[in-house]
Amino acid sequence: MIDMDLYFWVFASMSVLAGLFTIAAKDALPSAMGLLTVFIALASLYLHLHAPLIAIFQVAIYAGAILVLIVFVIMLLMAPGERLSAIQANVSYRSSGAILGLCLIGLVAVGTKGVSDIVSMKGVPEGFGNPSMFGDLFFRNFLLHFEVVSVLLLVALIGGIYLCKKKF
Amino acid sequence: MATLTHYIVLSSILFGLGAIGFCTRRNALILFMSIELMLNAANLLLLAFSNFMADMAGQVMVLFIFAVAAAEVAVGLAILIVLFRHVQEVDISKFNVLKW
Amino acid sequence: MEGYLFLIPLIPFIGFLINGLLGQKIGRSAVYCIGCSSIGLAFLFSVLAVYQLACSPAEDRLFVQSLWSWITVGNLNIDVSLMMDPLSAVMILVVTGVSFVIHIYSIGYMAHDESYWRFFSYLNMFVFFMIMLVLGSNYLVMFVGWEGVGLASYLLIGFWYKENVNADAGKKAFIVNRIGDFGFLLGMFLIFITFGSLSYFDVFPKAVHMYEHGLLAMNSPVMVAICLLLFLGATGKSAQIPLFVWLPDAMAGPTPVSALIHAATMVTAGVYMVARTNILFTLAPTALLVMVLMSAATAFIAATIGILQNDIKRVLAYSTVSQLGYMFIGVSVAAYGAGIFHLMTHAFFKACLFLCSGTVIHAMSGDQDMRSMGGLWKKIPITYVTMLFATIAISGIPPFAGFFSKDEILWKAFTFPYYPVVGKIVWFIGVLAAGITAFYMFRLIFMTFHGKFRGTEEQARHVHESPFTMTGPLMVLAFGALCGGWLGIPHLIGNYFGHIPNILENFFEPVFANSHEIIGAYAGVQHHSTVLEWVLMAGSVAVAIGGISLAYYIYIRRVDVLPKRLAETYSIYHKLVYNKYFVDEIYYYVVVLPFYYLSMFFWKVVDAFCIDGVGVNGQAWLVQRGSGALRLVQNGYVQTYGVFMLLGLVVMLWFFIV
Repeated sequence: MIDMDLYFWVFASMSVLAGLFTIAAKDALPSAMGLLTVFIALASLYLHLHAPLIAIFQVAIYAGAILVLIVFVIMLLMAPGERLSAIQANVSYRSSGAILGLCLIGLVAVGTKGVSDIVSMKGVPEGFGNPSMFGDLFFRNFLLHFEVVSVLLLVALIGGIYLCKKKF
Repeated sequence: MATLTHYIVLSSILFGLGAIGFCTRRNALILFMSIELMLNAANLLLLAFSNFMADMAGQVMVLFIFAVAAAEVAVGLAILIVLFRHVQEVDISKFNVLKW
Repeated sequence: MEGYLFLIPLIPFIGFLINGLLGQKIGRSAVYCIGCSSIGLAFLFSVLAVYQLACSPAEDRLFVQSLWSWITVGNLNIDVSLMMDPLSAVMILVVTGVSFVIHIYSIGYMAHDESYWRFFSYLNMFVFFMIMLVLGSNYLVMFVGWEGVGLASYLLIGFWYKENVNADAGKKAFIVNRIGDFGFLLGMFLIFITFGSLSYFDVFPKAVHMYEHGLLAMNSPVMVAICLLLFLGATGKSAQIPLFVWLPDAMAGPTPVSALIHAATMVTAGVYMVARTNILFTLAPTALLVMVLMSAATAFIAATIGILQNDIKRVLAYSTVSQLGYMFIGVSVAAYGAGIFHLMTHAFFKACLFLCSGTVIHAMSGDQDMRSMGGLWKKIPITYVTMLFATIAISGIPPFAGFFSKDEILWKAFTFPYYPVVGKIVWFIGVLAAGITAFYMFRLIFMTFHGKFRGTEEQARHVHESPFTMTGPLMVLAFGALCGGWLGIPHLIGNYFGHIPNILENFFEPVFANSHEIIGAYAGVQHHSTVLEWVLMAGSVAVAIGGISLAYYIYIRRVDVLPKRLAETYSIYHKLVYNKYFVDEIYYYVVVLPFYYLSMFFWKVVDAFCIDGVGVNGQAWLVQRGSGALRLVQNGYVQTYGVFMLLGLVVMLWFFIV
């Protein structure tokens, strides 16, 4: 068996590094590639978390649909990268935002130190994360939510179409 | 052993990175990508708790978050394209008309 | 008669309403008729009531009529109820009688005035309130009357309101009065707290009861406080030191007003109040001491101011203040009957003096300065004779009225049971003041009626006697000034001439019996030699005659030389006294100006700046500026909003984690 610890550390560091690359890249397209790496690393981690169905959905929806859409728009708009020499607007807010983000990480890291001692490790039952178990729960307890989300998707669809019509 | 704490810290790091990216970058598309990063961090946290509490509801919620993220990206990019048609720019520091 | 007591105040009230609301429409004769007959009817009913009262046996002399229940709150039960006992009987006769006479006089006086209907309406209103004051059977009804006569006084002093001077005089009277009323109110509150009621029938028996059973000591602080506060109210209404300054200015009103309100009735309300409250005053000798000293000072000081005034009505005004001082000396030495007796005789001769002066002013075409009068006795003889009668009465020459009442007061002051030494000092001051009174009153007569006429040709042609509606009342009042004193002949003289009783003293006996008992028990029964009494009586008469002679000497014999020379030699004193010791100026700088600045402060700083500026406008300014600053947060960049969201999140987390 693969050492679970190693598995975790590899994919965790991969996702963190890719995330850093995403936010730090100068042009949009390399940033999108970084995001792809994050998605795949996370999908692997989901596997480790006994959520195979979700891992598949992650790859299919996020990497397969959302990221493709983003790349498509990047290509369509041919957006130039940020020129550092260009006028920087709103610097004070943005830099303070960065600092706040760091604070956030620090806070959470410090605050959740003793969580795992409190939450006892339950073993997961047999078949946890299986599509059948997932479907059972999904269509039984969360049926209404499912229907509402379908309406949401319909609305998004209509909205997207309406926004991009040239004339009526 | 990869305990819950590790997953929480990882999730917070990813979320923080997404927040920093959102606050710092001027390119609208990279902004969107930072938002997706934050959403993924949330997904990771949900799944971590679902796993360690042996409760399937977390995974169901993650699916809903997928749906919502997809819808949001679709509509958001549509808006961006319409905007681009008018100003030929994706630099959000140029969009400050709705002020005061 | 008991059931019809309410008619006595009601009829003048109806007269007031009719004259006030319909006066302009119903014509002169109707207004005169209604105004005078309402008072006439009230007088008639009063006479009937007093006759019935007098016919009842002595212990039974009390009529009470309760009209309706006014206030019932918790322990406070106040009815509007009227009562007539010997004290209010004498008062009501004086009030309605003198008012009736003066109403008749006003018919002639107001013959050329266009606001005559307002005048009669106000006069009727005044009489209504005065009757309520006198007939009330509890302090609150008395206070209603007290305030009402103050209002009527204000309206009547400022009757010719188009002149600023008159309106100011009216305001001054009301405001100074109000200060006294403050004391009166506090006294009433204390009475209620101490005795649990404001009705005479509760308070006085309870006071006696409490004293006799040792629950209330003689001269207890509560009693002294109550009495001094009530006296403060009396100083305002009855023009004693320190609140007498309004009375000379009140001469700006028409002469009948001065006669009725500021001589005979309203200013005597304070004396009535003290006489009514005699039990409480008897139980507070310290208060009586303060009162007797202040009233003696008033009597003396006002008399000194009167000797140099040139306006005929001013002389009479200061004379009124001085005579009120005498009345208060009377009630302050626990001789309540004597004070009321002097009130009665004073009403006659002072009203007569004022009405005569009104006639003189009318004859002089409105000139009030005595320096332009002189030698008028041939031209207006009736006025001269009646005024002479009244002047002899006020000077205290027997057998005219003023002698009996003034002398009784002086004798009772000399034999003041609580503080004998002070009593003798007060007697001395009183005799001096009597001499000065005789002096300035006869100065007035000599300057006005004797000597050479000093006015203009125009005035000399105009001098004429007034119609009968004006001289008739003068004659009635002069008759009262002659005979009024015979109701109260002291035992000394009465026994000398063979058993003539002191009618008034016997009549008042049941009202003041308790007080006399208490004094007798406390200070011991007093025995005084009759020789001493005769000597003192003769002394005061001699002083009065001395004053008259001095006036004769200065103003008849050496009139061309002496007054001017005396004024120059003693110029400092002359200036001081002539300017009424600068009392008004002192009050202005010490009281009025600080108040003015205080109210300016409150207006400009507290009201305009703090409340309006900071409180109201300041809030708006703050909100405006604040929102002006806050809106700059919305700078249009979506990242700023994202930063704020993040900030909120971090703060919340901080809150939970740390």
